[in-house]
Amino acid sequence: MSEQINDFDQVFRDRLSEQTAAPPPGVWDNIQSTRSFGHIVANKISTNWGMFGTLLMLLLAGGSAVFLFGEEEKTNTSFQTSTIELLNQFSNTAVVHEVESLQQQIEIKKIGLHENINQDRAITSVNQGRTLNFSDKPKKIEPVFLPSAELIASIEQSAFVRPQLKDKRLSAYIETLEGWSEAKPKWFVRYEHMDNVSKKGVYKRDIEQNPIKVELEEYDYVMPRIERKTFRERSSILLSFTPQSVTKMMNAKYNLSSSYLKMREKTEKTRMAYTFGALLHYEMKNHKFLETGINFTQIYEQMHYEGEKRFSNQYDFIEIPILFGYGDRNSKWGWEVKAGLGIQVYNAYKGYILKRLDEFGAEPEPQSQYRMGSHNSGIQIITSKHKLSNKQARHEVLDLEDEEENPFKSSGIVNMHLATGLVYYHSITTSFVITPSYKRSLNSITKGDALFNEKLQSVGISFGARMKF
Amino acid sequence: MDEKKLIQACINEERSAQKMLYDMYSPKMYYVCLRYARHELEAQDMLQDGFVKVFDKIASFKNNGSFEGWIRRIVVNTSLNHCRKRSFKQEQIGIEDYQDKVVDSKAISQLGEKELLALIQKLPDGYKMVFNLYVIEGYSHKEIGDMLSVTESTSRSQLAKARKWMQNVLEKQKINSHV
Repeated sequence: MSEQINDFDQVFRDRLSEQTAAPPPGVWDNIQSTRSFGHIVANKISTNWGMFGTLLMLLLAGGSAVFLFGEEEKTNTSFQTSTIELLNQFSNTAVVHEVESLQQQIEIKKIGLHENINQDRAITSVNQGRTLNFSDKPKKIEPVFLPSAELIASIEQSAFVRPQLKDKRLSAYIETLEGWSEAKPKWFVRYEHMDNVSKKGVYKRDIEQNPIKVELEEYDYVMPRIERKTFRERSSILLSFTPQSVTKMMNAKYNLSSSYLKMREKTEKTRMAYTFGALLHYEMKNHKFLETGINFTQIYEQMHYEGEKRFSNQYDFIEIPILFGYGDRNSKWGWEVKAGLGIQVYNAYKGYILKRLDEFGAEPEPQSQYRMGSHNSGIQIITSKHKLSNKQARHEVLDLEDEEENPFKSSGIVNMHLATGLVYYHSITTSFVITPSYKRSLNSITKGDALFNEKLQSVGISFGARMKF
Repeated sequence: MDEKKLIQACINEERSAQKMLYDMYSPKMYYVCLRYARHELEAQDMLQDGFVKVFDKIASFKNNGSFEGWIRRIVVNTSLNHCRKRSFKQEQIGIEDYQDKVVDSKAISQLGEKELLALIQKLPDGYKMVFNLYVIEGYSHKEIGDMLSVTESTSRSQLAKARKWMQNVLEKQKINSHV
């Protein structure tokens, strides 16, 4: 049997293993068309993914470096180019004259340094106009260099220290200037550029030919003010939705039995609570920000008593929060923490709460008058109708829509907010925020004459979108 | 052009070298595909996909083995993938009913290459793959089990059933020719 099998197999092996057949010419054409340029490139990448991955990482790192630091380099270049152009036009350009004048003053009159400065200050005080006095050619110098906001931001990251200037004379001079301790990083950039120009010794001939007298006023040129961001540039609108879990904190006042509050706590269950927010997000300096606007909160709850639902309530709050925050970002992702207060300016209530126990029998009412006749106890909780179950006696509850019976305030509740979250910067104009948040009322939501205090606290997660306009 | 230079030229994406390599090996590989395919069009698809992979992966060929063997493995694997895409299970239905008959190698030996090839092509996919791999390519049942993600015993039983299936077909043909 096995021999027969071997023979059987051998027939196939001998006859077919080395057989050939010419494929139709179309196959080669199809192979060529399949292996297009894109296919070959994709194949090379997938084959050498390690190398391409490394290359991509290097490119990304390089690109990021150029993005982060290139601006500074570009600015430096533009400064130098602009300076050279300016120097070619005017031999008494501010920077050169400053340097030259400083050299003259400090080298020739080592001892007279302070005298010169005092003299300069005196001149400045007299000369209230902001023109510059360069010997016989007074000119108003336009700023030629403004460090970019990114550069300033990067410098702000570093320690707030004076730059180490190579030119000791320049260093000595600026040391004497007033307000150095309050100097801003942009000034450091200025002086470093001055330092570079001075060290290179360029345009020395021009400087020698046109000696000038430096005045403090000139430093307005080298210390230009950076234009502040406009309100619009700093502002964005934050739209948020915050589902949350609400807890009530109740305390009895006067001689109210605590068992009443315990019963309320036990029977009133929050079914759903959420907040819609429309806030103005305003960026301040040093990664700080302010948020304010309107929060609209809705809380739905129902009361189950003796195993059945007796009534459902709805609370609507409108709040104006003012939050102060701090955040930072790294490329596309950032984080933020914020805290603040909110004032509830409008509160509306629908539904009922239980009366205190000892009031139940105080005002016995005929059942037919106060019980809901044929109300379906299975009413949906999220509804504009907040009615009593047919088993719930009317005189045992307080109607929240009745101003006299309602123990809760219609406004004036102050809430504390705490939140921390992640920000995804989707584009220049849009970012998305996910923020776990905590809120609690600092004062009671009940009226002054109510027999108990009640505060609300909530924990939720806010999903928001921030858009610049 | 020697083999190494040809390979290097193919790595450099020189079309003329690729064509030369294709012309050199495609007839053998096409026949391999024909054994796994049900018809010529399918074999052409297998060959095309196989050679696209050969050119894509040629840079990974190490010169420590047979280049033809390397190409053949790629073409066989590509053909197996094609077979797997077909309804593998459906085509086994009814196979179990074949009676256990003694394998008649004499009847087989009287067939020409075309008939043998046609016989293999008619095999259900599951049998065809195992039969080709074991009988013609020379893989062991363990290797076949690894390649097809089946156990060794499954491979063995598939092979036995393939033989019986062919035997049965030959028997039927014999009866028909007598009638």
